[in-house]
Amino acid sequence: MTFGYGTRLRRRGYLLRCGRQVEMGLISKKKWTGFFRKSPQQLRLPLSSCPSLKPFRASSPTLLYNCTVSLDFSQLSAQISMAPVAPRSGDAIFANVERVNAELFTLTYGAIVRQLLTDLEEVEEVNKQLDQMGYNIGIRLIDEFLAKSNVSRCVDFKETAEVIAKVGFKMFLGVTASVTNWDADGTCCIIVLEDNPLVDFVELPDTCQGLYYCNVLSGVIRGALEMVSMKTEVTWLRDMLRGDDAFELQVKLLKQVAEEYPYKDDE
Amino acid sequence: MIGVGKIKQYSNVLDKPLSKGKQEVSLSAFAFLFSELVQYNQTQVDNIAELERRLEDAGYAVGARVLELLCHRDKGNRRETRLLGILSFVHSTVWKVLFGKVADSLEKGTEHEDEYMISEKELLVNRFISIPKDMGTFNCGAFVAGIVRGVLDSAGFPAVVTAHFVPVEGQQRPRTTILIKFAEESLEDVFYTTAKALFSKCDELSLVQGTKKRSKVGLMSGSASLSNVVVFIAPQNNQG
Repeated sequence: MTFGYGTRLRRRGYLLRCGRQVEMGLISKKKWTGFFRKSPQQLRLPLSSCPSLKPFRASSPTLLYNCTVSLDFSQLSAQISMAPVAPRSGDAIFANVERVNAELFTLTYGAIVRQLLTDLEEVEEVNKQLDQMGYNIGIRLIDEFLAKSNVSRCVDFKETAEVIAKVGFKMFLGVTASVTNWDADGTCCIIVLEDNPLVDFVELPDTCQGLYYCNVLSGVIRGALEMVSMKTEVTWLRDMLRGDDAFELQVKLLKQVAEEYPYKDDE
Repeated sequence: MIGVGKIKQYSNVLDKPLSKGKQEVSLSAFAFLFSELVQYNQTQVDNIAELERRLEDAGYAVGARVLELLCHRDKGNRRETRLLGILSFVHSTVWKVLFGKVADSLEKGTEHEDEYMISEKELLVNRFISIPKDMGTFNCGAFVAGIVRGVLDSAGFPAVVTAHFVPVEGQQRPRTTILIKFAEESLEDVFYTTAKALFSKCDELSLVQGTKKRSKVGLMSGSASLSNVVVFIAPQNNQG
């Protein structure tokens, strides 16, 4: 596996289960400590027995640990525990991450949609492609989301939806959303966006009336939730670009996929 | 509580007041989106040049809109009409709005009169990008080059804009240089061009460009009887 998967493993809390092999690329001490929450020394990893973990100086002054060869953590599982950390609010995270001007984001997204419309011609195809792009983003975005937000496992789907609306939207797009209209089982709800940076300067021409301009967002949610083992269906109920009076996303939980052991994602 | 949001609905996008441009999104949101843009375009092409061209096209669309937006919002519906003016507008104003900082440098090419370079140590779009070896000289900065071309072209200064990696000594990452090669008509004086168009019908008169002040035009009679009478006209407002 590669470095980026560290967060995903840690989230599942099985990073260092007995017999797990973890392989990483070249990482700095800071990053190492960041996701193991202990320095290599604290891990009491026998450096000599693990030749691949010898610290060495690369051209940069940072101390790097080369762990390209897989490490067997079977001896170490007992020594490591994840320090519990308080979840952070969306505002707090957004205030601390690097940000860019929303107009650059909006116009770039506009350029993408326009390119898709020229290439694919059919509005339906564009909707599909936007959703696919969102899905691709979602499956990678969840790692960053979990790493930065410190949220722990949600107890139910209701909490999940709240977290998406209050933390997820805020931390990436700087906007808040609210969750309403729960059905009786608590598996279907509506997320109402209070602001939507994607649609600044946008008006749909008559030829594109069937276009779900913000379809990328639904894809993101679907992709991200799939990575935390929830199969969902996300659809736009109301879209201001199509003449409605709000942006409303319906999120419907289809099924919860149980995690299978042995985990396959770090082959 | 359905439909109770902060956003007001406007029947026409033009009725909507222009935002002040202070709103922000997280850098990662942009990075994710940009990476999708690149990945999608990769599926549509079969060579690097084509990929760069497509990214540039996407950027062009952004650039044209940025110019319109900034001229309207920040400059009271005026735009730069001089070459150096528009270059510094790109280098400072546009860069500042889009990337949060002024570009690292703006230089004039030493070999060619018509070349200018904007250099950036770490271009925002290249922040999270590493180019696989088999993709050679591909530079995602093509998107930014497109933005620059979009701004220049829409302002009436057509140019060919390309992005290149330039290795810097003692540094791991190369910096990105946006090379701007202006088309011939961009280098001409706007006032001179206008005057030329105005007087093009008069066969008797020919235009000479003022030598000292570029925005001064001489009107010279072609016939011998009016021996070399040169009338100079200068625009009243030399700024515009």
